[in-house]
Amino acid sequence: MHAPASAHDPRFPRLVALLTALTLAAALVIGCGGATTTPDPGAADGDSADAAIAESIAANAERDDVVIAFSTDMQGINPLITRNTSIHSLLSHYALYANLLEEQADYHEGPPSFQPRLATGYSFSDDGLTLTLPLNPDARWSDGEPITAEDVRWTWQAQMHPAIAWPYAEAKKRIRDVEAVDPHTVRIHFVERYPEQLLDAVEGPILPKHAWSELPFEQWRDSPGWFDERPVFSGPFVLERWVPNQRIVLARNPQYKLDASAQLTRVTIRIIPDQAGQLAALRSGEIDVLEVPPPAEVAALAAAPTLEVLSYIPRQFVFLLWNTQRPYFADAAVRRALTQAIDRQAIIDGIYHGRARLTASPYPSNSWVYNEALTPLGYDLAAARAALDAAGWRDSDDDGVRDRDGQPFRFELLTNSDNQLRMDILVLVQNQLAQLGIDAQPRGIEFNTLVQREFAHDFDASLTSLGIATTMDLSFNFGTEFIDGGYNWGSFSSPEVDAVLAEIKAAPDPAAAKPQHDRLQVLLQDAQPITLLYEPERVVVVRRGLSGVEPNALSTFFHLRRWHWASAP
Amino acid sequence: MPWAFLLRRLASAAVLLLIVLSATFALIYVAPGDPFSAMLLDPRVGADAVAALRAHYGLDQPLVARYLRWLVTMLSGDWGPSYVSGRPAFDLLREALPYTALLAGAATLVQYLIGLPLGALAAVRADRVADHAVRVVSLLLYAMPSFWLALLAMELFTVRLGWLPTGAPDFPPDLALGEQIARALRHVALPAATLGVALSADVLRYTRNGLLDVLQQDHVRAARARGLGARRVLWRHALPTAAGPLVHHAGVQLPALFSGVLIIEVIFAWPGVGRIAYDAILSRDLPVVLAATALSGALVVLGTLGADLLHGLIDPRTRRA
Repeated sequence: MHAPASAHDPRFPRLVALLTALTLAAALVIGCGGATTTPDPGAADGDSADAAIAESIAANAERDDVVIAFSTDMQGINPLITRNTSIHSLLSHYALYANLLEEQADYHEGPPSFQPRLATGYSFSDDGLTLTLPLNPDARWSDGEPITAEDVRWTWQAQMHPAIAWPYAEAKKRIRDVEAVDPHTVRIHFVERYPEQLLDAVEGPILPKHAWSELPFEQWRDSPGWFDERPVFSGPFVLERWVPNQRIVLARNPQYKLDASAQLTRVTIRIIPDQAGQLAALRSGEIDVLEVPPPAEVAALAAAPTLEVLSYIPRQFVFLLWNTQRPYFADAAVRRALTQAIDRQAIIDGIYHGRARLTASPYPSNSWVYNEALTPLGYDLAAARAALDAAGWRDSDDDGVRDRDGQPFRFELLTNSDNQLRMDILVLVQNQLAQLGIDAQPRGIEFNTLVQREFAHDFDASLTSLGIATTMDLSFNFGTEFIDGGYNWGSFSSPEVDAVLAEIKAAPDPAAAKPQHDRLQVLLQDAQPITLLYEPERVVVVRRGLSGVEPNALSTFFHLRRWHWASAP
Repeated sequence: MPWAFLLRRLASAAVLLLIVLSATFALIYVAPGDPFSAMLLDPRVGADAVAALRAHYGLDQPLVARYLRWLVTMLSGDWGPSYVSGRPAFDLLREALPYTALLAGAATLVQYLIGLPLGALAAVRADRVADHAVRVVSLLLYAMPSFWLALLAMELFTVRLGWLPTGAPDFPPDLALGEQIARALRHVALPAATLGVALSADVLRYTRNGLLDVLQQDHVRAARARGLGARRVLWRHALPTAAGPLVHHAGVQLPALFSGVLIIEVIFAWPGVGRIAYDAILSRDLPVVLAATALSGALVVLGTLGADLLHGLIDPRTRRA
């Protein structure tokens, strides 16, 4: 037996030297390798790549489970009292619960369609005020009880109860009553006819009355754990285990009969808050799916034979928001000049590594409302300079900053400090505007603070992003009536834009409003209330061999029940 | 046992904790925004629902009313519900505490296993090659932020070598106890080693400096003069004398240990108190932030007190102080 090395042991100097050497070697090997250029350990070139891919697929061919990473944990199983986070979107819509109908991501040619889920179809009355939904008689809760019209009615009552404060209750406000005609027929009565009736009717999952009605609605918010002890589900999976802040294990629901059973027997969600930890887990094989890796890592991940990079265009627009109440942003000509002065392609190439594209519209470029005839304003410093001169913004005192009426063109440019990519963009924009004699001062602030300041119009300019709802309604963002209480944080006001937005809302059929949507985009392009920086691309990395993923703008997990591992080649 | 002294220390610690918690409460109150602001970014979310949620948690109340409400829940031991999950803040921390205890305990072990012998070596071989080498290592460790060390360790041992996993172990219901222990040790190894190595520089330098002093003291020189071997002089005479300040140091450096735990738990997805606190801070979950502050504050106070008492037991000279 060897004696332990003590302070007097001559081996100590060697141990010290070894420790030092190990530290330095690790730092050199790993650090100097560079995070952005280090390929996956299994990366291969040329012909060997095909063999490595085949080997990777073969290695997973026998699996019937998948491991997904999320940065935040779920808060409980009752979807009415949990936050609207991405993990709850997965659990509520695609794993544990089923809606009456399922919105599809087929909005490329027209408004989206709805496919049967708990309901086998739908029909409106002649006056358009009543929607009838026949329920699937085979629909069962995970404990074997049938899913009935009473569940649908009781769920609506819960959704509308003030003590529950369901965040999406707004969607149900124009529903007068939900009637259980018989166990398998539901009739929804509306107070008025409007384009989004179907969307509002099917918003939110249906809950199990027989299991959960014992607890009064008034006590739901204070008793989230009560539901966790009564796990009853209607989706393709059930909750097998939940270890808070660690993992959520889902198992195939044997009672699920709405369509083919889930192909995977088990889905494990690992909660990994840090992006570096997520990447390490992906590259070491601990997880199979990772959403939104850092753009700088995507090329290296794509080069790995064990991984596959998928992407889609989300319903989101990223922009510089100009507060039109400030004198330097009040003039549309100046706002256009600012857009022309910012080299957006440089942002896409330098910061997003090409994983984004220029756009001329807030709408997704693959949606039916997108105006194909528009082209983005180009990067044109000379035109921007001339426009600013013409608007009276000149450097009259030779201090390097343009001014007008004694006021320098100097403003604060905000974003949320936890997003390093956005912080980098601010610096780039600052440098580009400085060439024109505009002093943009970047500042990162805490996310909630940023949101509150935007709602209060307490900012000069900010870099932010917003999602677009299924209705493709931009009135919240650009309508004068939404300066207070909506997302028109820049206080943009244009009678022409308001008129077009009203026409879009008044259209009896959403598809009929396409010309108005086109016109709206032209008006916004001209007025530039915001500078659209790029159309984002959302990246999902999956382990090679995992098939059927097909992420779309509604969710990466839209087809979760169809996910499976490919057979060995 | 000086009970009066102990009670005085505990009472003053309780007052200090209350001041710290009240200051934390006030700071979060005056900061703009609230935990529900971001919900409104979803165009489908209604302002009415958000207002109802604010009212439910008393966020529509003035500062004094909110403070009194929090004080009552805190004194009743409940700590109030999390704004995010609705669960009692105390329960969230109680579930996480064993993980933090395991990580902190293992990291402390690593810290002293590295710091003590290397510090002793540097002291015994002062101004020689080994001493210089040890001091270079300690400087390196001082200079290297623990998150960077964590990233290096993860890249090397998880990704490149595939030896150690990240995150907490999974314990399926039918797992044998032996396998549970083995999994726990395997999963805690990397975060604990990373944190322990990062913190060991402090122990190393403390040990070296303490021993250098002790080695010059009369009783050590007398022991050498009596012809005792160098090893025996070190272990029987020098180290016990230097141990008292080291134990005291262990108590004093508890805050550093807790801040290190927070970073390491986030990077390694370790589900401890630090992770809970980190998530709560990001989501402005005031009840959980306050409960985590109270818990870490209480542990630091108790740890320091325990170290003082232990120091007194080891070194009788301090008892009269």
